[in-house]
Amino acid sequence: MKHSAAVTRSLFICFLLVSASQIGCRSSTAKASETKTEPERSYQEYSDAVSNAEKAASKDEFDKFFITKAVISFSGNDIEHLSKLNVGKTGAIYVCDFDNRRISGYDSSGNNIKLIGKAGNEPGSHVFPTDAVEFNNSSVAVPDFSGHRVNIFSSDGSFKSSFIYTPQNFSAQRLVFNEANDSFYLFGNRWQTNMEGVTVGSDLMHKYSSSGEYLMSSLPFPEDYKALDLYNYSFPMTDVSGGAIYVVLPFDYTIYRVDANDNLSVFLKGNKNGFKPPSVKMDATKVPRPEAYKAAQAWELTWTPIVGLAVMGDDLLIQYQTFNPLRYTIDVWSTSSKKLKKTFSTDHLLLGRGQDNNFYFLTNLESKHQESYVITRVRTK
Amino acid sequence: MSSLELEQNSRGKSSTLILILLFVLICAGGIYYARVSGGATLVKFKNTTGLDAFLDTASLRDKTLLNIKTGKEEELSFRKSGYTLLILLSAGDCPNCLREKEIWSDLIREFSPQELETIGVLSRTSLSEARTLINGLEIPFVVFLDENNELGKITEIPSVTPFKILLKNGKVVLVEGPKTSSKAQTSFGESVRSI
Repeated sequence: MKHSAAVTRSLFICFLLVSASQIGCRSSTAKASETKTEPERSYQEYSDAVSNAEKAASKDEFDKFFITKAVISFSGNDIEHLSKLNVGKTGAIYVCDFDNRRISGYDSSGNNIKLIGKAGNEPGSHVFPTDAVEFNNSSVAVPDFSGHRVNIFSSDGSFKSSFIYTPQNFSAQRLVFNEANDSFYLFGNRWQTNMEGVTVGSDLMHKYSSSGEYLMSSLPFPEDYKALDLYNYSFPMTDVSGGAIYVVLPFDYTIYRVDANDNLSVFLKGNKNGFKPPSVKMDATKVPRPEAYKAAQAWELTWTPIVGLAVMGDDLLIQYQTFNPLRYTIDVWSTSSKKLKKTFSTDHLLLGRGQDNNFYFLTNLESKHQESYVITRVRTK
Repeated sequence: MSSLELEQNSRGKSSTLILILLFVLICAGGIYYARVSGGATLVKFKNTTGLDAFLDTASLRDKTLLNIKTGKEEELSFRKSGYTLLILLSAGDCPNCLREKEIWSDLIREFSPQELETIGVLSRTSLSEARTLINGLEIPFVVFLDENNELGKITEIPSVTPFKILLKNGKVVLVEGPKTSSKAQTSFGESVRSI
């Protein structure tokens, strides 16, 4: 089985390529005053790192920390690219497939596939769906990166309503529904440019009522990373727990917490030993399309991108790509003491915490072009 | 050379619109201008695929769309003949369309309704979305809803395209990529004022 790339990297490249082809949608022209502190890395080095991770599979500490509750397999005939997976309260599984521009729903065993919405650019259709989140038990919200709207479907996939988020000038990469205040939170900062294409705003989080009324924006893009022009890499990891939203950006080991009253705070700043922030600028839009994907994978060897966040009970999990030699490192923090409880290495990719209060991992090393996608449903020991 | 013949006037007298300015602003930042004069019956566009597209004025004449403010279906043919007609065709999911809205509104305010009649058409947008978008805004023209993009289909303008074209007297005078710049808007404003 030939490997290609993991979820976050592929999402990143997708967004870059999409943005490059979108009308009037330009990457930021902010001037970067970077200082190169890392040598350029090659795609061959990336391939070697993946190969070494596979060879070191016996060192995977996954089973020491988690109890496997179920293993679910999705056929590669149905999914081209497992870009995002969310699980509802009853265990219904929603898969976002970037390459097919499709949202599929499954039962808790991974069977009985049904399509949520269809391709198109009208209410009820997707151009580039980026998430699928069950809310209020029976509805599914799907944000559209290119369509600039959120479509609401019933759990059987039929269209219910939609709202437009266009006036806030961004493209939604993630959606969170917070039951504590009955609100949607969309994440993204694209399009916040002036008439000359210069990025002038950078709020990453935008709040809407459950009926789609815009309420507020918050969570400024971190100043420290503007020089590296990482606006295109602000794809956040999110979770909701205890009525609060937790957010982390790929390049900054800072966990933000947004309570039900929208008070934003830094919940904790993470491990300085295992995590390494980027120091070299990457602009995949300047790389020809066939090579852009590989160029980004090589660039990510120069730092340790955060790829996962999940919160359950007292455990807050942060996962980042380290290739040390296993692909990922997971830090487990205590939400009560904010102290690091455990750090371990694994090749399993954290997809998130389901609303059924299980963690979900992708067992495959890569998320594209697989014969099957093996999902593990686990709980902590 | 392409042109557009429009409706007879409100008193039932048939006449040909001498000058039609059709400005189409659609979807995710794509801007289309077409300025045509003469007595023919078609407006000719080019789309991103390089294919010519034509607007049959008869279909436009018979078209009815929902007035978002009143909630009533209205014919587009109620316009009096002899005036310049400006159609702003946009979509709710188009950030650039919204961003440029004020600039176009300012431009339109420079003209009296007798000089330049303007209608807005929001396509591929639901009524609730449309109301969200225009609520509380002072838009100096009537805005219609074209939820299923029928007008876009008539004009054969693709919904997503990085293309801008200005036709003047049937001749392409400006073709640009996806830009929403002050310069481009100034240029278009000057074109309108020069009519």
